Amino acid sequence: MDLSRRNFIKASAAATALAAAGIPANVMADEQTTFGRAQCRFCGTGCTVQPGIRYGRVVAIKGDPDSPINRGHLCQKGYALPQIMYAPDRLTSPQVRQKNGSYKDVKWDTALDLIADRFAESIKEHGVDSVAWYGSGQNTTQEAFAANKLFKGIIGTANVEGNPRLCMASAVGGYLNTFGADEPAGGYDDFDAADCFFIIGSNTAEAHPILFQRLMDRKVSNPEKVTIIVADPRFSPTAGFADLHLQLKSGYDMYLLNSMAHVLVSEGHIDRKHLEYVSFRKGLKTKGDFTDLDGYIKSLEPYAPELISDLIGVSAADIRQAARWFGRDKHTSLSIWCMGMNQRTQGVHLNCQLHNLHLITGKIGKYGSDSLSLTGQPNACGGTREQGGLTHILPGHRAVANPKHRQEMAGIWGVPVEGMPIKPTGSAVNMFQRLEQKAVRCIWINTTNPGQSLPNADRYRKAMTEAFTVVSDVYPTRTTELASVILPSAMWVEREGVMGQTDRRSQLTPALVDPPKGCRTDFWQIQQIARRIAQRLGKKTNYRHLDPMTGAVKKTEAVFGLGFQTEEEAWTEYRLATRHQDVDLWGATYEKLKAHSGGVTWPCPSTDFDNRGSAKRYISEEYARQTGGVTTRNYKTGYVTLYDQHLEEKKLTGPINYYGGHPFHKDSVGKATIRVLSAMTDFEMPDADYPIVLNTGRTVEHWHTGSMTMRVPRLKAISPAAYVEVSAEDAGPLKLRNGSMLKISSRRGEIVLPVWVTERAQKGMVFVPWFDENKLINKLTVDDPKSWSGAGEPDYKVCAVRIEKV
Amino acid sequence: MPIAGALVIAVEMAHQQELADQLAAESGVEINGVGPVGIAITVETETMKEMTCFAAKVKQLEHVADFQLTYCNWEDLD
Repeated sequence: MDLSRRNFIKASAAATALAAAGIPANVMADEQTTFGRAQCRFCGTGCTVQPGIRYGRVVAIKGDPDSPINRGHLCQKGYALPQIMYAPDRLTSPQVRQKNGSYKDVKWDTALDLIADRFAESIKEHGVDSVAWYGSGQNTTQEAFAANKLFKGIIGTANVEGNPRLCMASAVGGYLNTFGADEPAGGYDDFDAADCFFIIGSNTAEAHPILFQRLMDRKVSNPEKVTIIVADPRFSPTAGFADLHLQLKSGYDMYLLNSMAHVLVSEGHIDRKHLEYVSFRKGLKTKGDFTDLDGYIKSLEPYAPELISDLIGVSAADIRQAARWFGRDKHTSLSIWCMGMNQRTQGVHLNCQLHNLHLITGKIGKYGSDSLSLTGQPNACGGTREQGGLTHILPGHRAVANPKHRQEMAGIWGVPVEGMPIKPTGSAVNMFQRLEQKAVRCIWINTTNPGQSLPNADRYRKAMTEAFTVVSDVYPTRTTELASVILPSAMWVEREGVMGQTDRRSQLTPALVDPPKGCRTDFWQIQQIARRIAQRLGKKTNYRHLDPMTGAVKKTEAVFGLGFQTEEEAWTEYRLATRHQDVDLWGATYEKLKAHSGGVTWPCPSTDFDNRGSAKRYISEEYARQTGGVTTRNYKTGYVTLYDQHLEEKKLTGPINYYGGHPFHKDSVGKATIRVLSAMTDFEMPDADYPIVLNTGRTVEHWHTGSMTMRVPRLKAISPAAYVEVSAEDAGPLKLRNGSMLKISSRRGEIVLPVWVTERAQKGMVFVPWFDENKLINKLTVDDPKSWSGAGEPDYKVCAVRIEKV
Repeated sequence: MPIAGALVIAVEMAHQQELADQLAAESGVEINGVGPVGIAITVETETMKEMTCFAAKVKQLEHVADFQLTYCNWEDLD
């Protein structure tokens, strides 16, 4: 078969249709193949899959028809899952770098003792903040919880960061500043009832194909009623489906959102009833500076569409049309966004401004309406945001700087509270800057590839090479090549663990096959290192044996190490950490997670077997009944409530209750907050020396740094290398054609790539995907702290470059 | 040029083959298989609007219970 891109796309389309029709497309599946259930390894959608196992290997894959997420469908990356596991260069032995730079295979005990020795020595000589953990939104929650306990609970440093800082931190900041609590109010079912989809900063068609299919299902079922608005400087594949594409100039999204808000308030789309549950504040301050609706309306006057249209490159008529569709009376609106909003200097501001549109119009808390941040990794929400895998947070949405929270976690972890860190150290890029400065001397990088993904990558590649760097991974990457010690990990269904996705959902992936000989799970690695470091530091943990159904302590014993033996025990301890918190997963017992396809959605305080949690937050049962007519939704097994079980449990009153009292917002009053924010542009806008904007992102074939998908022959064959998208307007003067080589230079580095002249790129902007480990586009991207969002997230979307034909 | 995979579900199994034959006559449609759940097809159209219209049209066909997109891709392939 001709492996043209068209044929590839068509084959992918046929495969999904055949699978949906109940026709097995994977020829390797036969009667000797048994199918289990797991979560897809890739993006944050969290599709439920059924891996086919034969002779101890994964040989087939299909979507789980019982899953309320993907309903049996998979994207082409999902269909490639079996092939990510068995590439010939799989790491199968611990390796230690020698003085000449080569690597030598060593026994596990040798590697583990070396790591423990070096970390313990560093702690004794240079203090607890000389060691660090850099984890991932691809760790299971148990792995992340174990690492968090080791570093914050046993060692006593807040040097715990992870790659979700590079993708989701701004979204967290947006939710916290607006609702006082992280993560969305609604979920995927809102796709089935939305009348207006507002997609901004997300190429959903390529990055979240299954959710985009749900969106398109809704559209084709109601072509006249449903509208799709896409705001994106690129004419992305997603924009190709839009009823209205707002192709704004890079860096001007805040102007667009304020302008849409201006239209909403000036044309009468305000839901005054909903505003009873909303307060108004100037800026992102956590105290004071209250204003009101009139103050907000006045702040929007400079953003009338006719005033800012030329500046942002979108016609006033289109801005007005977008706002009118969004604000239509008696219609629902669902906003979705991803890295285009988060990886921005103004990332937190942008998130808040988007929430503002929903709060002002009351388009939230109703079936079909939500402000839903999409996540890029399978467990960024569970393992990092909920579990507390960043420097400033503790499990269960607690804060490091809050003494009460530290006390609670010390009790749950069985460690002395005085040994825990009392304040954050620094966000991810800051951590690597301290590595460069040798303030951090030992770092454990687990399930992530910062040697390729950090902005201004060369700077930190050097730092990782010079420090004592431990890297746990499954394949050689641009980070393992920098390591002092490499640990070969088990992957996906070779390990057991829970992961949490975009819509507050947690799913269990069981270990269905053994890892290759020589590989160990990350959970086991953390346990082993924890025991060894604790012994060297003389620190014991109070191991509390918990009853998984009641939380009662059955017995206690003092041990060196984490104090739990199995992934299920770790999950029980973690559930206890979430109990009675807004992120209540106490009801997510292993029994339920094993039984229910699609898992449990928090808040879920109840261990009742059929109760799968809350599909909507912040609203009461009565409000759900009044607005939607029903209060529960049944799945094939179990049900979710269409109201917030946390409100019930905490006896919080009112039809709508935005909690309040969040640790980061001490004078919040149980209302959501519309942040009154002026529009600004990104840190590094184009100028005379660097007149072009570099935008980076994902493609449909590859996921993140390509360490897995580039090992799938089919995907690699169809998309083997990075390229640069250039507009015809920019290509013309340089006489560029498809395949011409283009040098792209920023203030930090340069790279040469083949050109694709395409309408996808806007004049004055080039786009480069970041999956190609041989073309490190992040050598060019900006790492200046002034470019980080208020949540410490770097800007990968607006970076000034110049281009030259070579 | 959009390319879509889709599942067409017949009201009754007895009508599946007849429906498949009818769909096969449509421009840009390829029948990939007829299974226990429905008819697997791929569709190519010139524009997304045409794709939307096609979906709406299929939903109106006699014997069709549902039309579900399983995959949809738009890009400048040519």
